[in-house]
Amino acid sequence: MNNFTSILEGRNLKIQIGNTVILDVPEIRIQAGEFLSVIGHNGAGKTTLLKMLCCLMKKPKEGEILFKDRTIGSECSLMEYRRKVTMVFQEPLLFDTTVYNNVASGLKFHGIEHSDINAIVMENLERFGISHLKGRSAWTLSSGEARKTSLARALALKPEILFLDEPFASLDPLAKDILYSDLERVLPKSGLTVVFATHDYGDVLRLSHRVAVMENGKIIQIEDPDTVLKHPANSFVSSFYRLNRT
Amino acid sequence: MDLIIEGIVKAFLLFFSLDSEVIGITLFSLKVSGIATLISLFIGISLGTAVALIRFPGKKIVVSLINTGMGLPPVVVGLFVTIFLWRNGPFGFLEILYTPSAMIIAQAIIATPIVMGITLASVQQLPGKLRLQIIALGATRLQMVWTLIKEAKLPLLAAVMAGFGGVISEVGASIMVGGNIKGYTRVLTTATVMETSKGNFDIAIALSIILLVMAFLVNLILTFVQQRKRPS
Repeated sequence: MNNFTSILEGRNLKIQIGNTVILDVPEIRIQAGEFLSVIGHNGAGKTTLLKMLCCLMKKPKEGEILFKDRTIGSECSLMEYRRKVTMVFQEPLLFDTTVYNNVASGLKFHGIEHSDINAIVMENLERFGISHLKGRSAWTLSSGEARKTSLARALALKPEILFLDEPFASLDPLAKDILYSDLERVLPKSGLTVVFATHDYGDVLRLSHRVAVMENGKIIQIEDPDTVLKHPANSFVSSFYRLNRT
Repeated sequence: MDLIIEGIVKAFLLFFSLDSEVIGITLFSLKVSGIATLISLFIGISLGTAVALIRFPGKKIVVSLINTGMGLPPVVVGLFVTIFLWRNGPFGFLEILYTPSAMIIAQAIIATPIVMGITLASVQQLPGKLRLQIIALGATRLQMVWTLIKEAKLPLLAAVMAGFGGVISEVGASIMVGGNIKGYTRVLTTATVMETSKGNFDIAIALSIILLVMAFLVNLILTFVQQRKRPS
């Protein structure tokens, strides 16, 4: 996967507050249809990288982001880009309404015809096996149900790139396993590009085409999972792997 | 003590006999304070949300001013509205002093900082990432703001309650800009002041009880709306 046309490219992405480097990524290229996992300890810069790539942060003082070879902000408008990608955060961040309305919310933002919304919402609720919850208030959901609703809401938008920022953190192992299985079942059919940030390496390995290892705001290795496993770039990568595999 | 008991008894008789003047004053009070609250909601929610979401220099000073405004003395508002609407004042040409319009303006000025302050706090207490999530779902700026207001709707009901409670119970501004004209600008609070000064405690007590019951009923309805969706 080294010689590809990238769907998304970040160049010279840098955030520095005082003397502290929050993010320093000279280059990152993501292929269409790729599942890229971004791993690293808490505070490594994973969320910042995702927010930067999703254009949810103020434009970086340095660097640029290209979507399908078009620079966001000049050749491609910010709104156009934001309507082709979406992000699921660590917390489900559901709205104070029913599960159905939550999944429909993004579609309404996009101005999808009311007559089309029902079919899209139901398709995505069924995808995650939560259609029976459609009338339930988001406040009454379990953690696992809320995460599924959040994923259904994101996928209902048919994004070209899906950013997942530790969406299964703080779930019990069983709920986490169910959600990974759901993703494993749903994502290959959708063909969308996924950037998945996690510090829980083991579970995400089976879905990943490539793994980017981050430390102190920098990507210190980005390769396929086997290569990273067999030839870690440094002791941090090998120790990170070891810690997550034990 | 007899005076109080006698007053309460007479108050209930007056209340249940559906005295036309008392009913007229009650409905007029509801109308003036209701319209003033609606105006304050429109201005207060808009500005409160804007201050909560926009970063600008001196924001802390503005927030402090809004919080101070939440305790704006009605007589001060009454004084300045009177000056502004006085015949020779900047808005004297409107000729609305001692009319219901002047009372609505004064009450809206009292309620707006209350609504603004509570709106500001309500929007600021929403999770910071919620704003990012809404943007990440492809919302425009206007859609994002509207969604945040909807998400803060339960605490915002407290703004409605506080705003309405603040103006229905105030007397200083209403008497100054309305003049307590019988059948025209007399509201429950100004009528209570007048009847008390005349020594008609039974009527004053009746009006006070109506005021309390009305404030209670409005808050009861809003509280039911606010609490009905809370998870058990």
